[in-house]
Amino acid sequence: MKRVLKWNGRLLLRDWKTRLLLIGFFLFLGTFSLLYRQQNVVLPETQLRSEYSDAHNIFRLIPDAHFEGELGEEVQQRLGRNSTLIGLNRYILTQREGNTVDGLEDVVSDYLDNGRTMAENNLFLLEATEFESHDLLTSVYLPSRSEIEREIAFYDALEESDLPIEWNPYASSQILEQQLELFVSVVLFIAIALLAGDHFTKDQENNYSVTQGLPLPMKTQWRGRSFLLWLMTWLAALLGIGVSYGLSLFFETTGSLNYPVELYVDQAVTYIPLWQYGLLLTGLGMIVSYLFLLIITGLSWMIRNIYLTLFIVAAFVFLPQVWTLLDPWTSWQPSFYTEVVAVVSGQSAMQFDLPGIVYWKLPIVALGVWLALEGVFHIIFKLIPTQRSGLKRRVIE
Amino acid sequence: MTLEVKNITVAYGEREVLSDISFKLDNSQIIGLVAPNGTGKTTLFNAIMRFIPVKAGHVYVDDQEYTAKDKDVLKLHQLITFFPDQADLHENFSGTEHIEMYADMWAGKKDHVRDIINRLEMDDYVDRKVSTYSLGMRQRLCFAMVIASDTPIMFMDEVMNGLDPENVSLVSDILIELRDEGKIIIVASHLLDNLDEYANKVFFLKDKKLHFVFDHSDEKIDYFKLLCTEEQVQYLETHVTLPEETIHLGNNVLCIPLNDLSEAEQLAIYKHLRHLKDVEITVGPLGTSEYYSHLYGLKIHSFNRGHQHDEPVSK
Repeated sequence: MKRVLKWNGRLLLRDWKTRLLLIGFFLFLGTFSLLYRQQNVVLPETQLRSEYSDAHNIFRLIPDAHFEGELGEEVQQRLGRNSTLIGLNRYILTQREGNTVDGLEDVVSDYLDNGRTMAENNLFLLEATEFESHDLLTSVYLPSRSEIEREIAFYDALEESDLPIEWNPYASSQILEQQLELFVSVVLFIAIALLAGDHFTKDQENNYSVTQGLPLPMKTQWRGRSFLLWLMTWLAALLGIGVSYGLSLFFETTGSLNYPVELYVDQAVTYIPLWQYGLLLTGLGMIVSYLFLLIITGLSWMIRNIYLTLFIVAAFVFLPQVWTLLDPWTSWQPSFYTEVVAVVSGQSAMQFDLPGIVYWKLPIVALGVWLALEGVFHIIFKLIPTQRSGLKRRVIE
Repeated sequence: MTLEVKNITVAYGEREVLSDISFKLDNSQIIGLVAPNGTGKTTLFNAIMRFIPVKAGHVYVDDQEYTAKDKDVLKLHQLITFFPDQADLHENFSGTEHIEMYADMWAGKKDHVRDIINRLEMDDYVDRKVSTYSLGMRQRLCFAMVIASDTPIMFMDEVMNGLDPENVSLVSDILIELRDEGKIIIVASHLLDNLDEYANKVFFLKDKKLHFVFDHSDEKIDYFKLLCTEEQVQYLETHVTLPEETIHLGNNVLCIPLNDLSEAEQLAIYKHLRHLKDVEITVGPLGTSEYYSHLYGLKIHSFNRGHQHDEPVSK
C-alpha cells in the first residue's frame, strides 16, 4: 500500500487537472470569508425588526372584541409585552455591546431574559386555545412549540457558556459554520467527483502496459487511489477553511468557537459548542466522502466515461429525495446519510418523518456500506475484461 | 527456476488465436519468439501473464501452477515482468522515476537504478521528463524498467523496436548478462539475425501452434547461402549439380548444404559464383532468418538493385 500511495500520489500531483482542481478548490474555500461578505445577509437586528412589525400587525388583525374577557386581556397583555421585548432586544443588538447595554441594564434588561420571557409568552399563547383568534395567532404569529423549546434551549446554552448573543452574522465563527455546512453538503461532492471521475480510467487507458502487471492487486490500487484523493481533497479543504477563518479574523469580529449550535439527537435538539459541531461535521464528511471516493474511483475504472460517472454520483447525492415520494421504511437507509448537515440538524428526521435519522448512526451505516462496496467491487474487478473496451496490452498479434 | 506452459489455447469467441501451446524453460535461457504480425506472439505473453482468459491450459513456475485466481495472478506478476509499451509511459515522469518505480514495485529496492542507467548509457537524458524523449530513448527506458524489476522471468516484447544498431548491440549484451545471472527471458523480435546472437532457442509460431523450435545447441550443417536473383539461380542450376537438399528461399536466398559435397565440388560452385555479378555469399549454418523465410514462405518482391538486367548472367 505504501508503494501505491507513493507512486500514485506523484502521478496524481503531476497531473495539471488535479493541480488546478486542488488550487481552485483551495482558493474558493480560502477566500470564502471575503466572498461571503458580498452576500446579502439578514442581520439579527433586521430579523427582529420584521418580528416587531409582525407583533404590531397581529393587533390590527385580531378584532378588538376578542381581547375582551379575562383570557382576551391576558393574550393582549402578553402580545403587547412581546412587542416591547422585541423592541428592547432589537435595541440591545444595535448597541453591539453584548446581552445588555451599559448603564441601561434596568431599562433594557438582558437579551436572554427577554428572549426567555417571549418564549414563555408564546407558550402561553399556544396553549390559549379558547382564545377566539387562536387560529390566526398560530398561523400568522406564533412559532411552533418545538421552535419555542429550541429557542429556550438556545438561551440556556448561551447562558451556560457565558456568551452574548451574536449580533454579527459575518463574525469569523459564524462564517466558519456557514462555510463548513456548505462544504460538507455541496462543495465536497463536486470536488471529489471532478477529481476522481476519470483518473483511474486515464491511467489504465493511457498507461496500460506500465500500470498493468504491477505486482499489486487491483483492489489495493483502488483503495490507495481513493485514499490519496480523499487526503488531497481534505488537505486542500482544511487549509482553505483555515485560511478563510484566519482572514476573517482581520476583517470582522471574531465571534466565539463556543457559540451554541443545534444538534439533533434522540428526538430532541441539544446545543453543542461550534468547535464540536465543526469537528462533527468534518468527521462525518470525511467518512461520507471516503465512501463516495471509493464508489467514484471504482466506477471510473468500470465505466470509463467521466460524464456517466458524474451522473451516477449525482444520482447518489440526490437519492434521498426519492424518499419524499416513496415510503422510506427505515432510518438505517444509507442514502439518508449523504446529507450530513441535514442529518446533524435534524432536518432529515423531520423531512422524512423518521426521528431515528441521527448522526451517530452514520458511522455504523458507513461501515456497512464500506463492507458492501468491498464485496461489490471485488466482483466488479474480477468481471472487468481487460482485453475489451479499449483496455488492452497492445494490439493483439 | 523453470517456466512451463502446458496446452495453452486462447480464443476470442469462436476465433481461436493460439492452440495447444506447450513448452518448458529452465533458468539461464533466452528464447526468441518469432512469427509474422498478427500470429499471436503478444497474445501468448498476455495469456501466460493471465491478462486475458485462456480457453484451456496451465502455467507453472517451478512446477507450481499459477491459475487465473487473483492470488495466483498476483504471485505470477511478482515473478514475471512484461516489457512496457513506450506509448504507455507517463509523460510527466522522468526516466529515473519510471525506473525507480519498477525497482520499488518489484525489487523493493532502488540501489541498482543508477547502475542500470549507467549501463544503458542514459545519464544524459534520464532525468528529463519522458515527453521530451525520442523513440529510441523511450525504448531504452522501457528496457531499463524491466531490468530494474529484477524478476526471474522477463518477457521482452519487441524490445529492439526503434533502437539504432549500437543500442541493439548494447541491449543484446545486457540480455546475455541477464541470462548469465540465471534469468529466463523470452524475446519477441523481428530482428532475426540479432536473435541468433544471443537466443538459446527460437520458437516459431505458425497456424496457431508452436510450429518449430530452432535450437542453437543442436548440431548444424554448413550451407552456402547465396543472395541472388532468379536468373542467377537458373544459371547456377544449369551449370552445377546442386544437392537435393538445396533450399530455395522466397527472399532470393539459395541455401546449398555442404555436408555431402567434397571440397572440389564446393570449389566448383564457388568458381561459378565468381562469374555471377552482384551475388552475395555467406557460409555457415542456417539461422533464424533462413528458417523464418522457409517456414513463412517469405518473398521479397522488391529485391532489385536496379542493374540486374544490365547483364543478367555473366559469360
